[in-house]
Amino acid sequence: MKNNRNIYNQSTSQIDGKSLEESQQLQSDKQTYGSEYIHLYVDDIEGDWLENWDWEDDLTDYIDAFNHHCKKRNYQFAIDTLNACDEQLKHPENYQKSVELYRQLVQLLEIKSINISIIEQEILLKAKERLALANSLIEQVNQQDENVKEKIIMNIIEPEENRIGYIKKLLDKVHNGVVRKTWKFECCVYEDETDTFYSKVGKANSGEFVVKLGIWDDVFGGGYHLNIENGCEEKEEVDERTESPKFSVDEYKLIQEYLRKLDGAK
Amino acid sequence: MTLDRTRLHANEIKPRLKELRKKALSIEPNLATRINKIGTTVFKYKNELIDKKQFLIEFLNEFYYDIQTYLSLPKEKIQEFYQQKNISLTEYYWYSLVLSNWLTKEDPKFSYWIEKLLLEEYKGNDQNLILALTQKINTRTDGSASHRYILDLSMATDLLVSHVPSQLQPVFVQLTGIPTFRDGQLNPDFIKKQQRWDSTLSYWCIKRALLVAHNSEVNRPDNLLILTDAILKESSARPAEFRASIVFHK
Repeated sequence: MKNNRNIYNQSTSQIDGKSLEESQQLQSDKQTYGSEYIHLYVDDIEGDWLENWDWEDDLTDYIDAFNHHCKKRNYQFAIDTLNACDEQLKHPENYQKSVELYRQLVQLLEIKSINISIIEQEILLKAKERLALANSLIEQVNQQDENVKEKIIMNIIEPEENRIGYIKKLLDKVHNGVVRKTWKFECCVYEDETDTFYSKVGKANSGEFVVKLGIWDDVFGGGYHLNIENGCEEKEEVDERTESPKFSVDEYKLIQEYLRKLDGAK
Repeated sequence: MTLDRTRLHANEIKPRLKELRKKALSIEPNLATRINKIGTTVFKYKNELIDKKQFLIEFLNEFYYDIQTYLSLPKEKIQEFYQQKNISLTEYYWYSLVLSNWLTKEDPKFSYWIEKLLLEEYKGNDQNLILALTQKINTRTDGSASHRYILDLSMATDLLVSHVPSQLQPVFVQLTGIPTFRDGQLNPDFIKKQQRWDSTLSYWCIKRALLVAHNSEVNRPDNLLILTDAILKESSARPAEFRASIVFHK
């Protein structure tokens, strides 16, 4: 590993001496000025720097370094780089990225087949472990999503005073699912030739869950419907037309909006 | 020769550390993990009311200069600097052996001591004595010494000392109080301290180590000189591997 460090350093060797001189200067200042020396280097020590300390991170630097090491076939450094951003890779929004990176490393090492060194075999083993872990984390999230869906389905129609809120939550979940490709969505528009009838209906499904939604207008008024099925066990339904007491223009508009959003996301 | 020093506002310490991490990612990614650990540990304390931030700043600043040097100097280059007498034997070992050992191995006390620096539990008690000794040794032609936060907090070491012309690894010197009470009874705190010292040395595979017990009289200039002589003498007389304690009692 140390030898690799030397290889990477050669391009910067012209300026090496400067860092060393600066560090020597610092040590000499420390001995000469004692505890006062730090004021030669840092101002406002007792200021608000600690309060302003965030260690926010994005993965770009790590991914760039990872690709660089893979390209140089330095797989030890490649996996060390992924270790260095392990905290970030543990965030749910990066699970997918984590799978991609470890898969890339596994594939690169597997291609080597019999030419693989003992150290690389160990790296491959570790990368495989991490890949399996990342995959299992994604599965867990999907499982949790399913549970949330189920919960929403149980609640959607019941509390009538905030029905629109629950409908929105449900449709948001479905929308997220369609974006992440864990839900499928199909959509159809029906119009008659005389322009007296218009209807748009959509169907979203993920496994046993099916959500159907639609709006319609004709010369006498309009309406909307929302239908949720969980296999053959659960079935809930909203079906309103202009003349019915629970009809709400806002719900109509909400379903219209989500039909458009879902169609756009698929 | 005095170089122009780079002077920063304390708020610039963090962006500089992040730049260092970026550099580390392409040269030695494990080091980036260590830098992240510093960043996230400090972050945990951002909302604490901390009155004295100087020790932490000193560590962060010194760490930056050392790592910057470490990343830009391949081992053979350090060797070359040493042969050209641009760096002392102690500095040579610091960069080529001790620092790289610290970076390669997990430091079990790392988060703990960052917290210690932050929560003002670190008092830097012997700091003046340590710096005075370091300076005294460095002004001589027959020795060199170095003091670093990493040595102090991770490796139970107040200063590294080498004796010229010996080529042996430097001695890891730890200063401590007198082991006995006035009535001659052994102080149990000393025994505990010695045990902790022993296990820390073993963890870091430190080959040459000296525990120097002293009383407050040591601070007198003539005593400082005697102690300097004593430490250098130990450094040249002892073998390539040893662990010993001496009592400096004037």
